[in-house]
Amino acid sequence: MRTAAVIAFLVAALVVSAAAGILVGAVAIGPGDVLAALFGSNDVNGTIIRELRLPRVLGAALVGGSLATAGALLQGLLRNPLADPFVTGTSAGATLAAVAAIVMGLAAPFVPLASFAGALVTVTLVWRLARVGGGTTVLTVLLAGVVLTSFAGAVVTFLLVSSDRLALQLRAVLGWLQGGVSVISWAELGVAAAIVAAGLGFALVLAHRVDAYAFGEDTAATLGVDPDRTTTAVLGATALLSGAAVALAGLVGFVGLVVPHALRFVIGATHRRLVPASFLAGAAALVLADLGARTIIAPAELPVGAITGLIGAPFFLALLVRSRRIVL
Amino acid sequence: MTSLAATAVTAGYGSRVVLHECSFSIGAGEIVAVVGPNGAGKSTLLRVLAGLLRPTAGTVALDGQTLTRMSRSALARRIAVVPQIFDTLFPFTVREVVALGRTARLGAFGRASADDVVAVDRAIDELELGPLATRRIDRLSGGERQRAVLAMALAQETEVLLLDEPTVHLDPAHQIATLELIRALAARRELAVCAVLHDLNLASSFASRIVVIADGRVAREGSPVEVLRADLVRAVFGDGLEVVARDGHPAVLPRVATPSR
Amino acid sequence: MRSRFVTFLAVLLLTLAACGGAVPGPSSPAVTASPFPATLIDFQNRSVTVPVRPERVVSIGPSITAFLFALGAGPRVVGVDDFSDEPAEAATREHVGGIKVNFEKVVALKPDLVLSVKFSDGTIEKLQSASLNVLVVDPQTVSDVAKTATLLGKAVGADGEAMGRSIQQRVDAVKAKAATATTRPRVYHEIDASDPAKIFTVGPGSYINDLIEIAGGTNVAARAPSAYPQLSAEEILRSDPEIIVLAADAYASKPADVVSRQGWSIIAAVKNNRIFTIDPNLINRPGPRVGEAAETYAKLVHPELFR
Repeated sequence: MRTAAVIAFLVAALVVSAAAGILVGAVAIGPGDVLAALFGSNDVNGTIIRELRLPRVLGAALVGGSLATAGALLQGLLRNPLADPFVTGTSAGATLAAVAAIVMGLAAPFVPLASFAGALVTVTLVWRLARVGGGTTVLTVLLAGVVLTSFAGAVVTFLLVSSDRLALQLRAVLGWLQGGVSVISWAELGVAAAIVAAGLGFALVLAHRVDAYAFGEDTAATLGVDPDRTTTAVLGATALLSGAAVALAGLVGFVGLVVPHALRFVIGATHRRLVPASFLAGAAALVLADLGARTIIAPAELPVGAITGLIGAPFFLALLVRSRRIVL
Repeated sequence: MTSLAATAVTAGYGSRVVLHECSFSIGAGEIVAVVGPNGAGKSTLLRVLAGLLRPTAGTVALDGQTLTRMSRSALARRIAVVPQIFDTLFPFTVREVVALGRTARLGAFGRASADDVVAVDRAIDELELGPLATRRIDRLSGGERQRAVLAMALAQETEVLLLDEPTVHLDPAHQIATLELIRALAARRELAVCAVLHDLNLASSFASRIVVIADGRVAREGSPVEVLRADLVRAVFGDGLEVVARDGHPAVLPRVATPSR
Repeated sequence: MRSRFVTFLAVLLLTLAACGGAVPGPSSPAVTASPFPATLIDFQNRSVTVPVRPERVVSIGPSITAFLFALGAGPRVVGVDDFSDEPAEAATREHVGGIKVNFEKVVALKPDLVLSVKFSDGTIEKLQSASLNVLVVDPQTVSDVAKTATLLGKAVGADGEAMGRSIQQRVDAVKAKAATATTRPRVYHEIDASDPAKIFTVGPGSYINDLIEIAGGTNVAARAPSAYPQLSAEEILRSDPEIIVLAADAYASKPADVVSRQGWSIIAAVKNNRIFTIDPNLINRPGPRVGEAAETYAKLVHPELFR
C-alpha cells in the first residue's frame, strides 16, 4: 500500500536525519563514541551527546513536526495552500505573547502557555478575517498575515526598547525572531512535547473532518461537520502546535507551508494521511535544517530560520505564481 | 413517506430580510424545481432547507422534526446538498471526494466501515465514475467534476437531495444529461429532490413541480403546466418572453419582434 | 544577522573602556600641562591638531570619560555618552546618545574637542563634517591603556604619561606575581548566554583575554578566531574550565543558573564550585582601573597568591 510505504519512508528519513544530527556537532565525536555515549558512558562525550545534542535534535523534530502539522490543518481549514503558522502571522502572535510574558516577569513554564494563547488569538483573528473576505480568502489570509506580523513585530520592538528587563536580553529576543532551536533543559522539552502531543492528538482526531472543508464551510456542514465546533477545535490544535514550536524555536518560517504542500503530491490531499505524514516529514526536515544551521558556516551558527527561509521563500513565490488565478 | 416542509419561513442576513413567509414541501420521488429571477431568494431558500440558515420566523421540518433541533451529523444522514461551488486547490481524487459523503458516518480517526465502502462504490457506479475514480478532481472537466460532487451527495444515502443550480457550469448537452441522471436517481432511490434552476425550460422538462420565487415570496407553486403560464412568466420574468406548448410541456421563448414596415 | 552583530559590537565598544575616577595610584593630574598647539596621532592613525587647551570637551566612550576625570579634566567635560557612569559625577553631564550619537546635541554643546571611540557607521566622519575637532581614542587591550593615558593627557593638557606609567607598573606587578604560580587554571569567561546554543565569550585580542593571562589563567577560548567568539555548549563542556567567571549584572546568568544548565554538572568549575561573578564595569572597560581589574581577576584565578 502506497501510504504505508510513504509513512515507512518518512520514519526512516526521520531516523536517519536524527542520527546525522546526533553525529555531527561543534565538537567532533566519532560514531563509536556517540553510540557508547547514547548508552550511558559517563565521560564528557556522554554528557555532550545525551544532554546537549539529543535534546536539541528532539526539539528540532518537535518544532518541525508541529509546524508542518499546523500548516496542514490551516491549509485545509482555510482551503488555502498558501497558509501556515508563519505566513498567517500566528507564529508572530505567539512570539509577541511570549515576549510580553517575559516583560511581565512570568516564570519560564508560563512562556509556552503565553505563546499558545498568542497563537490562539492570532489564528482566530486570521480565520475571522478570511471569512469576512468571502470568496478570495487566499489573498485575505496573506494580507491579514502580513498585517498581523508587522503589528506583532512593532509591539515586540516597542517592548524591547521600553523594557529594561529585555534591553539586556535583546540578543535573545532577536535570536527568537530569527528562529533557532535552543533547548534549555529536558524539563522544557517535556512541557513542549506534552503540548505537541495534545495538538497532534487533536489533529489526528479532526483530520477527516478537515477534508470536508474542501468545498467550503457550508458543504462541510451539509456533510455532517458541525462547523463552529470543528473550526474551534482545529484552530485550537493549530494554536497548541504553533505555540509549542514558537516557545522552543521562535519564528521558523515556511516549514508549515512547504511540507504539507509537497506531501500532497505524494500521498494525496486526504488529511487522515496528510497529518501524520506532515508531522514526520516536518520533523525530519527541521532536524536537517538545524544540522545545516550548525554546520554550514561552522564554527559559527546560522539561525535555523535563515535556512528554512532560504529554501521556503522561493517555494512560496512559485506557489503564489502558480495559484494566481485563484488568488486574484 | 419522507417530506421536507417549509412553513411560513422568513429568513435573511442580518437586518436584510430575503424570504418572506415562504411555505411549500417536497415529498419522496418528487423533483421540485425552484425558479425565479436573480436575487429573488432561491439560494437563500435552499440554505434554509438544508438547515444552513436559521429562519427568523417559521419552521422547516423533516417528517415533522424541526431542522434547527437536529445535529449537523443527523441532518447529513438525511439531507444531502450538491453545492454550486466545487473548486478545490487540493489534489483530492474522485474517490476521495465521493467518500466525503460518508463524513457523518465515519468512525474515530475517520475509519471507514464496510458499509461506507459499499456506499461509495455504489455512488461511483451509479454515476459511471469508475474509470475516473483515481483521477484528481482538479484535473477533470466541469461535467465530470459535477458528477463527482453528485456522487458525493449520493454517498450520503439520504432521503432528500438539494441541488443549487446543478447545470450552471455545463453546456446544453451536459445540462440535459445531468438532469436525466438526477431524475433516474430520484426514481431509483425514492429521493425527494429540490433543485434551484435558472433555465425555465429545463425546469419544465424535468420537474414534477415548480415553485416560483419572486421578491422573496412564493409566487406560484404547481405542475409545469399550471405554473408556466404566459401572464405569470411575464409578470415575474419580464415582458420579453412568451410561452408556447410543446409535447405537453410549456416552453418559454424570447418574443420575436415583428419587423415593422 | 549583520545588524544584530553590529549592535552587539557597538554596545561592546561603548561599554568596553573606562572606569572609576577614584583610582589610579600616584598620578597627580594637571601639573605639567603640555604646551599647545599639540599635534597627536590618534587610534585611527590620523594626525589631529589641538590648537589650544580645550575647555569644552565631549567624551563618547565610558573609558575615555573615566580617564578624563582621573586626569583632572572632569570640570572641562561638558557632554558624555549615555553609558558613561564612572565616576558618578560623569553621569551628570549632558548626554549625547549611546549606540547612536545625537549629532545635534554634540554640536549644540559647542565643544572645542570631541573624544570618541571608533564607529563603523560613519559617526566620526559626520562629526568632522560638522567642523568639530575629533580625536579617536579606542583602547581594546591592556597594552592600549597606558598609551591611552598618554594620548588623552596630551590632548587635554594633563600628565597622562605619569598616570600611564603607574598603571603599567601595577599591572606588571600582578603579572610577575601570577607568573610564580605552578598552575595556569583553565578559565571560561562568559559575556552573554542569552542564546544557550551560542554563548559569547572572550577570545584573543580582547581586553579580558589579556586580563586572564595577566592573572595567570588560560582562556579556554584563547585560540578562537575572533576577539568575541561564540562557543557552543559542547565546546565549553569539552574544554572543561576550572574557573567560570560571570558578570555581576542584574540580567546576566547567576552561578546557580550555570550549575543548573543541561549537562554542565560535569565541568570541573561546577563540581568544585568555582563560579565567580565580577563587576562588569571594572573588567569590561580598558580604563584607569586596569590595575585593580588585574588584581581582582588574579584573586579569582590564584587565590593562593593574591588575597
